[in-house]
Amino acid sequence: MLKVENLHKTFGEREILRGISLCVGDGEIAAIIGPSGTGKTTLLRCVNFLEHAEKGTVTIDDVSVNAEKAGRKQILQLCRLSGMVFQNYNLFRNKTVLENVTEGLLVVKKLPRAEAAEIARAELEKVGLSEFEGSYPSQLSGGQQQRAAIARAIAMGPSILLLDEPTSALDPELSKEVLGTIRKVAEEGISMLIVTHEIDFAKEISHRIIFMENGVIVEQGPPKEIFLNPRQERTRQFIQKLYPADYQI
Amino acid sequence: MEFQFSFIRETLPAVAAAIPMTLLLTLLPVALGAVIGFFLALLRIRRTPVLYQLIGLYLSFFRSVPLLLLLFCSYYGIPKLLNYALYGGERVLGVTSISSLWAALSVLTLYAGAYITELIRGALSSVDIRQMEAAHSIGMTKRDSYLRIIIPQAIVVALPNYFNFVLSTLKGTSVVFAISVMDMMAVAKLAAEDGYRFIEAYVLVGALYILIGFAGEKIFRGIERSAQRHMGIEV
Repeated sequence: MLKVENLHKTFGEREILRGISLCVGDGEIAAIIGPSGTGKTTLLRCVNFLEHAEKGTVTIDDVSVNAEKAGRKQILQLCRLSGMVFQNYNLFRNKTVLENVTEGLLVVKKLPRAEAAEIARAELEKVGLSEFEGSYPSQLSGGQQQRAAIARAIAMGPSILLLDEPTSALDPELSKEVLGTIRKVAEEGISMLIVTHEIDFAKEISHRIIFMENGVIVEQGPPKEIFLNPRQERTRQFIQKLYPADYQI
Repeated sequence: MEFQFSFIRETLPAVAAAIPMTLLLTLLPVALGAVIGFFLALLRIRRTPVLYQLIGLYLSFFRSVPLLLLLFCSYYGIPKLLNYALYGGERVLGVTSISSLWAALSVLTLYAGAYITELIRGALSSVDIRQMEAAHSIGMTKRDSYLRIIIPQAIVVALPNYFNFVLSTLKGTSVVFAISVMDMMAVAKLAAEDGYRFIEAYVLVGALYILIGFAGEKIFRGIERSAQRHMGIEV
């Protein structure tokens, strides 16, 4: 379970997050949508302290970290409970696909090599990359790299998976392939917090849609409610723009 | 005066016997320089106040003063400095008090350290730092991320430039004759003075530099390729 309370983050003069609170339950999949530059990605990065929020608390399971007095150890604990999938995959370029997945198991979880490889191979099979385990990232397509990155994240057995626009660097075909993988992972019941511009995907996969604008959560609820019957005028406008002309709410 | 091949034949053994000295003057400084370079590059990247400026000063000094001048300064300057520091200016220590080989080795090491620091700093900053974020996201410490992800990649990037610097140091060592270290160049020069066979001596020593250089290039190329293969770069 992920719980974020009253998160504040500024970059210089600009207030990016202005008091965000949200909760993602066990097995729940929540998607954050909203216009560009509203702090969706920053919110995600604040959850595992890739960005250090100024104020607020992040809790995953039994680890609770207050941004104002977060120590390095606590932050690493939080990271170990969360997995992240990046827009640009960020695979380790000096390591093969298999080594990318085993890296955390060996270094962080300190598993024996054989056990780490076994877990990694199982995850790679799940994302359909078994035959590429010996390849280096530079030898893979973007879609394959992103699938490897997903395997790397879930191999650690995180309590929640954070996905930061996982398909926005991919063409439609590769993007479909990655979305398929995410769907498959979702079926296993892992919690997810996804920032995405793939609105249809978000609608289909998530239990809850969170609409964000200007550093605050404007509205959240089940997809049906948000897309068919939004309570806030601003949400309605945003959704109207996504489905112009022939789409009526 | 005719070009005398016999001179070359006769001098070759003596000059060849100095090859180990030239190699020592090259390899020890570039090896120690790599260690210095790594530490300083990592420290400099951290931008620790004071330390950052001190390292910057060191880099500028050793990269802008000619090697020959550095050699003279250490060989003639250090005894003088010690005389002033320890004996109130009285001339107790002279150039014979410090070994010219040690002077040459220390100057070359500091010189190499300065260049290699910049070389490694460049290589480190060329590695996509977003991989650090990925490492953080799976709970790896900064130390582990650097040791296992960033530095190995930086080494692959740095290798060609590093080997380039090794070759240029190999040639650079030829000025140590000026403080009477007996490397290949010094031995050849000394032999030439006996009978003014300078052209012959230079041709001989030049050929030896070329041979060593070629061998070095071959070895380096092999290392570079195998390093690149470990990153999945087709070669």
